[in-house]
Amino acid sequence: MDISGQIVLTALMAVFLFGVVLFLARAADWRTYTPLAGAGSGIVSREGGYGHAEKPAGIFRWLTTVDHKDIGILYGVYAVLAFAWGGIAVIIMRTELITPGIDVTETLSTAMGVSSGQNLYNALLTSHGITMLFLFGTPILAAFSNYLVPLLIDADDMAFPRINAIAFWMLPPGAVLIWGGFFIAPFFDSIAPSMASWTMYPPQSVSQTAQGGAASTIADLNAGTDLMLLGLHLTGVSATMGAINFIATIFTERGPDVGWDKLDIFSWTILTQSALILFSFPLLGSALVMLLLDRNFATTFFTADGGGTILYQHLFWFFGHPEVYILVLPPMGIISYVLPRFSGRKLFGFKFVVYSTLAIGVLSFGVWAHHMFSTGIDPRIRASFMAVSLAIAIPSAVKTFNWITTMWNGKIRLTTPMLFCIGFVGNFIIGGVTGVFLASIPVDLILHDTYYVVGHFHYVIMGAIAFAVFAGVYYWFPLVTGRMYQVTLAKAHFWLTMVGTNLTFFAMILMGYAGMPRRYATYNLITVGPIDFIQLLHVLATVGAFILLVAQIIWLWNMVQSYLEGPRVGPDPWNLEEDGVESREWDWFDDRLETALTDGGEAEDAETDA
Amino acid sequence: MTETVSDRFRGRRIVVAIYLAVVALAGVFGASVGVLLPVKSGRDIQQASFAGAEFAVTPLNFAIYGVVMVGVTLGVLLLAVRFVSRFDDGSVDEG
Repeated sequence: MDISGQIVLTALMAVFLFGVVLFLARAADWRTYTPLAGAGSGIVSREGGYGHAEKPAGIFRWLTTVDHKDIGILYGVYAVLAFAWGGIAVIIMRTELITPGIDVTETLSTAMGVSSGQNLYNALLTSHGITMLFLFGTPILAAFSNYLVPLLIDADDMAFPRINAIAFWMLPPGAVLIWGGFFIAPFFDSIAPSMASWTMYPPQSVSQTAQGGAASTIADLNAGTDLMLLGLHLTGVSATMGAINFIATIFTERGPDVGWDKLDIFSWTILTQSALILFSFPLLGSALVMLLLDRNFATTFFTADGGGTILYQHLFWFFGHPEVYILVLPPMGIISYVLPRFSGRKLFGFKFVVYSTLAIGVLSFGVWAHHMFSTGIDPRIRASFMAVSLAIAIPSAVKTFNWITTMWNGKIRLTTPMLFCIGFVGNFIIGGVTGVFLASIPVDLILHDTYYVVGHFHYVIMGAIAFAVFAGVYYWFPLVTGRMYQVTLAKAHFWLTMVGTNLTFFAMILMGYAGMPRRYATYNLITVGPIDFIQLLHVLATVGAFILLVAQIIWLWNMVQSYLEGPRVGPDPWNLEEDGVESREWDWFDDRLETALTDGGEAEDAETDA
Repeated sequence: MTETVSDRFRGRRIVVAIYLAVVALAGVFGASVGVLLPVKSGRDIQQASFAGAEFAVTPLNFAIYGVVMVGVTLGVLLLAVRFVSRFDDGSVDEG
């Protein structure tokens, strides 16, 4: 084709794209998110201030919004998509582990353009870890904090609404980069999804090829890992911007009635979490940049004759351990907030829960080397890290103690959010106590890199953090959608999740005792444990994982269907007034309902709670 | 349908029920460890000792160990909860 032909083609393409933009701009009758008012072009914001008085309709509303509530919803939807990706990855891995040899991933690897089943397993393992921590965990908590913190502290919006939007919009490209290897692998033999594991330890993360071996020149490196590092860096920048925004918001935007003494427990945990993010994520960013330089520009930050691989581990875990508390503190805040509402009383020992939150925040920076007990670091350093790791159990136990005492003297209503709260407390005790044993050096040396560790931290991440997320989702579902979810499905979701979690992760703890090492696609060659018994436990863990899968499908169905056609709720769907445990966000909801009615919104089947 | 649960349970009944369930589970877990440890091709551990007392690794022994250990530890904590709850200003349970 000659050059003029190409110009014509380019012009045609431009006209076509312009047409697409016009179509999108005019698609105003797309279903617009208007939970309270009737159909129309968006909600009129009651809060004055910086002016998002009227929002555009359709897709443009979501692309341009700086409203903290909209951004909260965007974070939530994004996190659910990431949860699905991470969940599917783990279902493939658990299916592989039913038998000791390699089978399912071998078949899949051909279709997905990965060189072997083992490599695909390693790639899925990497993707599962990174996705669940950085693309699901942190964003789903940002969904709650974005939506709720300004409401709870009586602020008009976040302190920096546009930075808030930028922070969110960095995440989708981050995810595309992190998952990028999977999309590119079918087309290039030299590129595979990263197999560096979520911890990205060198030398492997600096030298791996797409076939899994060590590269002899920089040109042989698997570019999938570069994409992942860049994507991860983006999500880190996003989290840091969000954290700065929350600190500024909670310090400067509180309403006249909200002094520090009136600040609610959830905002306290978000404030502490934001401080942890601010001090730890820059370390991750630095370590990632150094990895990228080592890979692409032959620097020697982490080579054996340069800074050394242990340097990377120190930097990574100085970020990585606070990350654990970045993920667990806000869920603890949700539990401390929701559990008393269904115990019909206020939280027992509020002040001590706040103090223990702050104590965890400080101590979390002094425990990182407990991930490195078996690396041969100086025993005197190990002993001090053991002491701090044991000490951090104390503030966590104080919180647990206060939740139980709150229930002890309460009158309990077993609603779905409350069931998830109780499930959280139970699972958190198991996850916490198994962690206390790991903090002890001699026990850690035996159990390090076994499934015991995997079982322990999944009890916390799935059994506690995800449970608190579900408690929050159910509790605030009426606030966000104006509708109620289906109770029977919600109860089924809880019980299946509870059984699935305990089946999967307790089997893993036993496997660790039996000597099963973590991170392997196969176990037909291991010599440390009884293979028959280990296989039985793997099968149980896989059954548990499938129960979890069914439960989450039920949950997703319930959320979508109830959002579309659930019954509308009245101003106090949880009967909080009856117990005198009302809170600011439901007052806001009440105001909003009244405004919608006077605005001419429909109240067709408004249902007050009886 | 709205999620209104009009039944209210006394908090301490729920807490005690959870305590009993956890202690029972500890028994099941103990039994599983008792099955696991002596398996021949595994670590092959036949004897255990606690505070000087030696006992054989059997599912029953380990189930008893689990129940007693968890029962006593959590029991002490539960008594502590009971004790501090006397100083609880926010109590809504008069019983």
